[in-house]
Amino acid sequence: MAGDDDDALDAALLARAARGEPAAARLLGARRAPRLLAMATRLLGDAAEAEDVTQEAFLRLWRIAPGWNDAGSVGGWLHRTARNLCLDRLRRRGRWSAIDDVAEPADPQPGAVERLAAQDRAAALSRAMAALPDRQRAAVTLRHFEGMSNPDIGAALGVSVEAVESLLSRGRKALARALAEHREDAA
Amino acid sequence: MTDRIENPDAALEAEVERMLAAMAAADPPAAPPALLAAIAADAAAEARGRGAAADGLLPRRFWAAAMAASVAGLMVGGGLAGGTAALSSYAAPAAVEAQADDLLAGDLLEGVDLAIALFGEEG
Repeated sequence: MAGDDDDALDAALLARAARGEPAAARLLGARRAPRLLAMATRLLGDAAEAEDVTQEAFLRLWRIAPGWNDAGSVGGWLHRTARNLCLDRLRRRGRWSAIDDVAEPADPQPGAVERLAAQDRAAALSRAMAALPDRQRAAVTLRHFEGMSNPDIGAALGVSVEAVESLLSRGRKALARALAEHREDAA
Repeated sequence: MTDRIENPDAALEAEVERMLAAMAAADPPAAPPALLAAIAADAAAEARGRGAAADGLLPRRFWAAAMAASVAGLMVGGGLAGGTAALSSYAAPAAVEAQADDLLAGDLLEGVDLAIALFGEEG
């Protein structure tokens, strides 16, 4: 299977990186960093923070590399570690508790129209995601990009399943609104 | 009439879901070269750190063991050659290493005591 081959290659690269082979470390980084960075950017809505998280996840991997056992997937370990680092950062932002009380904005924020008038709709959607409140963005990312179930998302975010459903609904509505505005601007 | 016409909001939300699925399935863009360089540099630094620790550990312990052996050799009148012989004949390097840190941390008398403990008065 391709996944097994990927895991075996990652494990081999990690073992060589642990022995101080820079080429192996560079290759493992090139293979796994893009997906981690994309996930972290979506979760955090901030490119610089996402880079920090990606680097931190790899640093933690390098530290445990000599004792790595072959039973686990390097890619899966990196993904879980980066995701948890993102969630920790979101919690530290201190806006978790307040976000549920924030009503849906009646109008887009100033400047949003200009941003959403970008060249293509996917870019517009990405920007709209970055502009979502932390919890809505996290819920949408965990559901649609990480494939997590609502109960799992609730556990990760520390909220009820009902709250997750509400966050997802509000997030999707906000994205739809942004997409509609982009369509009008492009027309 | 279709749902799309009757409920444009629902149609838009469905389109958002389709676009999110497409984005999730797409390959992510390459990571910035500076980030990849930093990741590789971290790996090299970690490997160097481990190597330095390992390099430093062995000579330090070997020196301590050699000192203990020399002291033991002196104690039994064999001098440095006797100590070296005692060290080479000592068949439990793990025990030597385990005592080596204590030997380094202690003063000469403690070293002598440890040497005696390690090799015995008979060398």
